[in-house]
Formats: sequence, structure tokens, C-alpha cells
Amino acid sequence: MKSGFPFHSIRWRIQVWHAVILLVAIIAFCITAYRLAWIHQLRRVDRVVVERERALISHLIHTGRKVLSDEGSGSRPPHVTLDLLLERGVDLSEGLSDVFGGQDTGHSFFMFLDPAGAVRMRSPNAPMSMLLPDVGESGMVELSRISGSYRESVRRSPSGVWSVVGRDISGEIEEMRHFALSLTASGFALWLVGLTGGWWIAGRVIRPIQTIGRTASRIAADNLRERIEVAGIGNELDQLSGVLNQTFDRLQAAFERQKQFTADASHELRNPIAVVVAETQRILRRDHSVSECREALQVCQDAALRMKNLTEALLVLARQDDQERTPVRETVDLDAVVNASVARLRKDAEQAGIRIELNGIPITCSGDPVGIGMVVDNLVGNAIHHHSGGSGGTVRVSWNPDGEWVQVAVEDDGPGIPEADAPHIFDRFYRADKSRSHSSGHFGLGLAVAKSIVENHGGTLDFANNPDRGVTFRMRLPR
Amino acid sequence: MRILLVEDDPALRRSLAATFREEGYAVDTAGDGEEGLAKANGGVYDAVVLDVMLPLMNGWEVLERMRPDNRVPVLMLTARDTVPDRVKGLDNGADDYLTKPFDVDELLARVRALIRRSEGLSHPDIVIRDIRIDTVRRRVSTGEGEIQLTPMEYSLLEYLAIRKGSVVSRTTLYERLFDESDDSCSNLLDVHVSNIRRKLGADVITTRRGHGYCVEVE
Repeated sequence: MKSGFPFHSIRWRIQVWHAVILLVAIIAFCITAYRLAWIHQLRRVDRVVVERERALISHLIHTGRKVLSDEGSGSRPPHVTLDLLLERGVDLSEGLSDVFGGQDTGHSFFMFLDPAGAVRMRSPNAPMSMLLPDVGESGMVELSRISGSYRESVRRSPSGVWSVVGRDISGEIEEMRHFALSLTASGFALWLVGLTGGWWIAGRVIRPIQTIGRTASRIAADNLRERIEVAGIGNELDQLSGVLNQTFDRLQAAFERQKQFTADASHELRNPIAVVVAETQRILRRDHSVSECREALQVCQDAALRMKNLTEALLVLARQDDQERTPVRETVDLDAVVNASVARLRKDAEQAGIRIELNGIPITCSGDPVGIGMVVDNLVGNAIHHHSGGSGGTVRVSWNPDGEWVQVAVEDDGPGIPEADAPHIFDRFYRADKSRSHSSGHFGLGLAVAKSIVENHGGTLDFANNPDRGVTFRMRLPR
Repeated sequence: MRILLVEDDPALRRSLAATFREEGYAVDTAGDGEEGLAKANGGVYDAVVLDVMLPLMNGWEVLERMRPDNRVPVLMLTARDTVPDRVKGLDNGADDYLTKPFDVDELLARVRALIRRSEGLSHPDIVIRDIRIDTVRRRVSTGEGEIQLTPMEYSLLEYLAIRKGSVVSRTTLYERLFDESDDSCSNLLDVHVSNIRRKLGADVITTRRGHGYCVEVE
């Protein structure tokens, strides 16, 4: 698949995903880091605020007690004392200006407000007004908050008096801003480094795939012999290469078989054609006697019959290849099929001095009666033909049910099948007897045709040499 | 001229043998590679027509075992017609290559050309004084017109004329003009020679006693 758009490539897709995931991770990390730092800062500020508040309160109580004892009012709880003092409007701020004063960065202020929100006492640097939290009419309140550039500790005493102690945190805010900036910058830099690394890694991962792809396309184009190099590490790519190589092996084998088949078929067809051409041209070159012409015609006829037989065999084979898609299935009376086959071959058997023994019970199976008849013809015909010359013998044909199958066995007591030929006898155009000329009417297609017919029925066809003499061919068909 | 025809298909073998015999060649046949190789190495052939797909030993192997000692011209006959097959044939020492099915006239012409080339002739006509031998149409003519020769007389004259100037022994003539199926008597050779002399003049073939016959150059 070719795409003009490079971003469809795996490398680009990996890169984009990598970028997104890395970005999310970096952002999450930066945010967490920032939040942690901010929380840490606030805690520090809060500790300072609490310290100052404590110092303020103890100063106020100390001063207040002194004022009240001067008046002789006796001892009271601290917050009541404070409320009382505030109600009276006593200025207690003297001596606190060193802590609560100035407008420098990090300065602190305090402020007391009555329940209605009116300022009762404040440090000189405190804001003029204060927005109080909306927390109902009564009860104790204690909270920390950020208001503008201040961190404030806000409390309400049981009597409803508000106290606010605040600290300027503009310095911390500025610090955090710097921190955020540097976090962003280093995060971005990290992202870029990650992207570059990712691009490189994706390239490295893709490269063997590209090599495999290029090799595969070369193989597909013209060179079926070439194979993808396997690195031998045993990783996923090696496995892929292995699988592809196996596929190419099978493809090449099938291709070679097809080529061999075509070559064999054309060879088998060309010989009789050559005979017809040579013979007719010879006769037409000069005058010949009637008997010579008759002889030539006989030769031509034989050649034509050979071509006819071969084309018929090839057509059967082609039809069997085709039947893999559209099989003929009807109830086949196996008894009748075998008997008809044997009847066709009876004369050949008698000529060869061979007795045919039949042994079977009436049984049916599902399939193509013509095809099964051809298989039986072929097996029995072979048994008669390959019998060691003329000395007579026996061919036994038996058929019986075998569980879900029916089995037809053709057994002879001939020479059997030589070990060297055994793996090839089902090959197309394979002739066990090399010296036998192809004009004998056998093209080496019979068993190939038989096997493809049986396999199209979902059955099996195999053979085994008998322990003593001869060979047994077994056809098994589903019932 | 004697030809060896190695072809395993009996019908084609018989047909081609008959064709060559009708053209005046002596023809031996072989039905498989081993027989073909044995006969070819007998050394009495002017050309070998060799099929590739043969039982026992295929044509390439026969050719490989014949060469380089046996220099007889070989024409390969085969049903395989791809270019690599043809190149392989010629590179393996074949002199010519013909694919089945072939035209008989072409086969005959190629065999004639092979024999002619192997004898060092460049033209199908052989001229001896006023006698012109047309090897294509197998006709002999003099200034007075065409002279009728029997096929055997023609073959004898042609064989000697191709080797004009050199003495050819009677044994060689028997080997090259009669095939193994021929059971003619030896003295027939003398009859054919005297017939040719009667038709074309006494001096056309000279007898070298104890050596053989010769067609003199001048």
C-alpha cells in the first residue's frame, strides 16, 4: 500500500502517540511538582503566620491584663479579656509595630473586627477593609485562606469577634512563578529530547520491517528463490521473517509444481502432435502406395487418440480442481460402482491372465459416482497393468464399512512399489517405470487424478506394500 | 549419409526414420539414451538427431558423454521451447536445436546444413568439372541436362563428391551408406559405381586398388 501522505507511516504514527503520551506524562509531572512546592510554601508561610498570631495574642492578653488589673476587674478567660478590651476600644497596638508594620515583601498585618464586620483594631499596614468568610451567624471559626497577595489566618471567637492575621506572600508567588517557568522550560526540553529519541527508536524498529518489505516485494516481483534474512535473535521480526519465508517456500513449491505440470503436459501433447505433423508431411512430400498411406493414417490415428486421452485426463483433473468449490454429492451404491468398474476391466485382466476377486457387502456412501468409478477403474487397472509380466496373479477388491467411513481396498500380488518411487506415485506425470514409453497410453496422471477425486470427497487414498508380495491401495470415503 | 535417430516415442521414431530413408539417408534408431550413446560412439554417423526426454539417460547426458571426443554434428529435438532450454542445449555442445512439433522440411534442411558445415562446404551445390550436384533437390546435371540416378547411386556420388580429392575406403562407404537394417550384398557397391560411371563418364569415380574410391578434383 502506497500513501502519498507520509504521516500515515507507522513511524509517524508511533511518533505522534509517543509525543502525546510523553507530553501528558511531563505535564502531569510538572503540575504535581508545582502543587507540591506550592503546598510546601504555604505550610511554611502558615507556620510563620501562626507564630506571629501567637505572639500578637499573647502580647494583647499581656497588655490587656495589665490594663484590666489596673482597673481591678479580676481574672477572666483570655478571649473574653480580648473582647472586653476591644469593646472598650483600648488601643493595644503599641509595641507591635516591629512585627506588624511596613509594606516590605513578607510583611504581616493583623486586624480585629466586630461581629458586624466593622474594623475595631488594625495594624497600621493592614488593609482598610476585609471581606469575611460567609460561615453563618455564630460559632468558632478557624481557617486559612489566600486573599490577594496575602496568606491570612481568620478566626472568630465564640463571642463573634473576628481576628485576621495576614502575611504578604508576593515573594512566594513570584518564586512559584519562576519555578513554574523553569518547570515548563525543562519539561519542554525533556519532551524534545524524548521526541528525538523516539524518532530514532521508531526508525530502528521500522528499519528491519522495511528491509523485510523490500525483500518480500522483490520476491513477489520476480525472484521466488530469494529469502528474507533471519537475524536469528528469535524476536517478533524473526518470527515474521520465518513465517514469510515458509510462505515463500510453499509458494515457490506450488509455482515449480505448476511449471513442471505445464511443461509435462505440453511435452505429452507435443509428442503426438509432432507425430501427426511429421507423418502427414512425410506422406505429402512424395507419392506413396495406398498401404503406406493407410499405415501413416493408422499412426496419425494413434497419436490423435493419445492426445484425446491426455486431454480427457487433463480435463478430469481440471474439473476436480474446480470441484473443490462445487462438489457433486449423491448416494453412491458402492457395490454397483465396483462391479461396473471390474466389468470394464475384465477383458484386460483376462488378457494378462489375472483373476479378480470381489469381496464386499452392499453399502452406500455419499459422493460423485462417476468420480469414484474412475478411482476404482484406476486402482484396479494399475493392479492389472503393473503385474509382473503375464505370469498370472490375483487382484482382490474388497469394500466394507469402517465406522464413519467406507473403505475400498485393492490388493495385488505383483512386484509392489519400489521405495524410490513411493513418495512420487501421486505426482502428476510421474511414471514409476521410466523405461516405459509414453506411447503406452499411460501418462502418469491416473493416480494423481484418483487422489484429487478422493480428497475432494473428504476422503483419503494411500497405499502400503504387502509384507510378502504386492501392494494394497486403500480408499476411505466418508459415508 | 548415415544418421542416428534417438527418440523414445516409437511412432515418431518410425515416422522420422521413414522420412530420412525416403530422402536417401541410411538411418539407425535408438529408443533410449543408453542405446543412443552406445550407437553414437560407434563413430559411423554423419549426424545425430537426439531427443531430450529419453528413458534411462536424457539427451543432455548423452550429449555430455559424447563430447568432446565425438565431433559428430548433433541436432537436439525437444518439446521444451523456452529460451533457457535452447541456450542450454547449444551451450552443452549441440549444433542445432528444434522444438516439437517441427516442420519436416525444416528438420531435413537443418540436418543437410549440419552435415554440409561439418564437411567444410558453404554451398549446397557441389561442382566437379561439368557435373553439378544439387544436394537440396538431390539432382545431378551435366551440360547436357539432368542425369537420372537411383537414390543409392546419388548417395554414393554425393558422399564421394563432398570429400572430393580424398580416397574413401569401401568399409567407410559401407558404414556410411547402409544402415544396420540394410542387408544388401557387398558387391552391390561395385554395381552402383559402374552404373554411375556409365551415366556420367568413366572418369568421374576412380578406383584406387586396395584403398577405395575417389572423385578426383580435376
